[in-house]
Amino acid sequence: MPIEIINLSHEYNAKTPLAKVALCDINVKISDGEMIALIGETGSGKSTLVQHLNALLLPTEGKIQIGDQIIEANVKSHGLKQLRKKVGLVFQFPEYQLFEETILKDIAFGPKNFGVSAEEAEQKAREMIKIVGLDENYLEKSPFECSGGERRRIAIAGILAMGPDILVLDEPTAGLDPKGAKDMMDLFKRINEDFHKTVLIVSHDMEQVMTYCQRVIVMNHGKIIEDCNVHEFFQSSDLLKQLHINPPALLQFKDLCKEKGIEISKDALSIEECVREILKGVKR
Amino acid sequence: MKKIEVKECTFSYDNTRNAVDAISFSVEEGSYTTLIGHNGSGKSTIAKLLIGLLEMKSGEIIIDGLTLNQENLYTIRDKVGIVFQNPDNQFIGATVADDIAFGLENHLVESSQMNTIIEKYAKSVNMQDYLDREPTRLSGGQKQRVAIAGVLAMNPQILIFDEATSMLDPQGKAEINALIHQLNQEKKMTILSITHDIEEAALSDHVIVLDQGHVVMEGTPEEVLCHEKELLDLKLDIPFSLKIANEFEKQGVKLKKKITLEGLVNEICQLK
Ligand SMILES: Nc1ncnc2c1ncn2[C@@H]1O[C@H](COP(=O)(O)OP(=O)(O)OP(=O)(O)O)[C@@H](O)[C@H]1O
Ligand SMILES: Nc1ncnc2c1ncn2[C@@H]1O[C@H](COP(=O)(O)OP(=O)(O)OP(=O)(O)O)[C@@H](O)[C@H]1O
Ligand SMILES: [Mg+2]
Ligand SMILES: [Mg+2]
Repeated sequence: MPIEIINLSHEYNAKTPLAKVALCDINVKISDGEMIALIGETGSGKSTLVQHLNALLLPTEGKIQIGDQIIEANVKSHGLKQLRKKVGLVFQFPEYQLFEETILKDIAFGPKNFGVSAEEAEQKAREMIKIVGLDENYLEKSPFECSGGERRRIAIAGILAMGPDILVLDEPTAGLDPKGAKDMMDLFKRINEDFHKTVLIVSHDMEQVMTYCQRVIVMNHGKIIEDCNVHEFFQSSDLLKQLHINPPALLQFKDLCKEKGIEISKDALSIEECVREILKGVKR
Repeated sequence: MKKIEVKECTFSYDNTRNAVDAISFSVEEGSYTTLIGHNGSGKSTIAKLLIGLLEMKSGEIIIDGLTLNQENLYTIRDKVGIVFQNPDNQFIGATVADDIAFGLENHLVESSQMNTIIEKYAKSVNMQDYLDREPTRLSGGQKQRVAIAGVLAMNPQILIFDEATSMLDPQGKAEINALIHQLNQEKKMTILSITHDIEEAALSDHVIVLDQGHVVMEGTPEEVLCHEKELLDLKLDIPFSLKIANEFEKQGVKLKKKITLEGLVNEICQLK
């Protein structure tokens, strides 16, 4: 299901003293099976944009087309339930998403709501809780009796359980321990590669962006200011500086080396390659 | 001098499993201490025990020389500023300005000074343009900034951060970290930072590692963060500079272990 966003704007609290334009004339096309990072500084509009993808927020101008569903400003949309089954959105704050009294019910809610039998939905929940790295005996606990990182995992499990075609993840690894973050990103990558699902990830972690995504979209003050291939993006250090983006650690390392007169070629994009080049230079 | 002392402290939410299990550790006055550990290892529980938000089953907590008990609770809370893991749990005021002011009112700040202080701290986290906005209707990173400003405005002796910068953009995070290091250096504020960011731990004075409610490692970053196998087994990670040093070793060159990139690059320069 391709996505096309056309001239989309969003104003919070329109026509009130608290009105705030959060998105301004956004245009993006996303093809099936892409894995994309959406980045940008605090308050640039990332969460506002992704909440449009399953119609939790509606455009105040412009439109979005997802598959054959069109959501347009000032036009009543039908079939939003179908859309929400196809586009799974994990919120930036898991607390906004968890509400059932047990984790089992919480994860099973999505599938059940979309017509799967109660038994099947529970089966799904048992499967998903393990996939996100929690023990099955958590299922009877309340999601509110969990730590921050555990809640994040439950929120992700609930969305995965619905088997969406498009996975939209708003800072999905914030609050996860390092192993949890890596496992989760590997999982999203597998879902993308093995099942050809579209994955859109909001992230502040440039390491992740570089390692896992092919395309990067950069937002600034409610606008898209860059949309390009990840490797090209991180190669252009002037652009990064201009956008106030700290490069991933590997590139910081290469820059530091360069300052000290140790040259490493642009193509060396893994620790292993960099070290090999440095050692070659030393031996020469 | 010890600013925080935790002795054999145990806590359970449900009386079946101890979320914090006979834990002992201390935080030196004026130090920047980081507390790391896997999800569910008990970090936030400890933070809540330290300000008496949860009541321990057994053990003792001493803060700035005072034993934490009903009698001392409010004296201790005046000394400790905490930023919770979820900023939504922190907000009290209807506007950002009110929210920053809230702690000040409790501290008997004259109203003539109030606005100056509010502006100063809003500015310190770059939220001066949002003073009239509702804190709950902000972006994730903006909420974290406001939560931090509110706590800093109270000028606490001890600052506890529970993943307080987890949703900031890299530059914003660097700015807040610099601000905290400055408060630590200049005002001798004692910092206890709960984090999953190993690079932040590498820049601290002292690292405490938790596993299932137990302290399993403790020491300077140099002492703790070199233990690759142990840290990976604990679902944690090692600093990036050590990953590079390990690759050098793999390719036959042993470097002195440095936990910052600058340190590492200096070592590499010695190779020539
Ligand atoms: N419910 C709301 N009401 C009014 N304004 C809002 C609301 N939510 C967000 N905003 C504003 O809209 C702008 C964009 O916010 P958004 O949450 O989309 O940013 P973001 O890019 O996700 O930032 P972060 O990285 O901090 O999460 C911000 O200036 C924010 O203050
Ligand atoms: N309100 C609660 N009721 C019952 N159990 C809880 C509650 N809060 C936390 N727990 C459990 O206590 C343990 C410790 O939780 P805590 O929140 O201290 O972990 P944490 O180290 O802060 O984890 P994270 O990195 O995910 O924030 C976890 O196993 C969690 O499931
Ligand atoms: Mg956001
Ligand atoms: Mg926690």
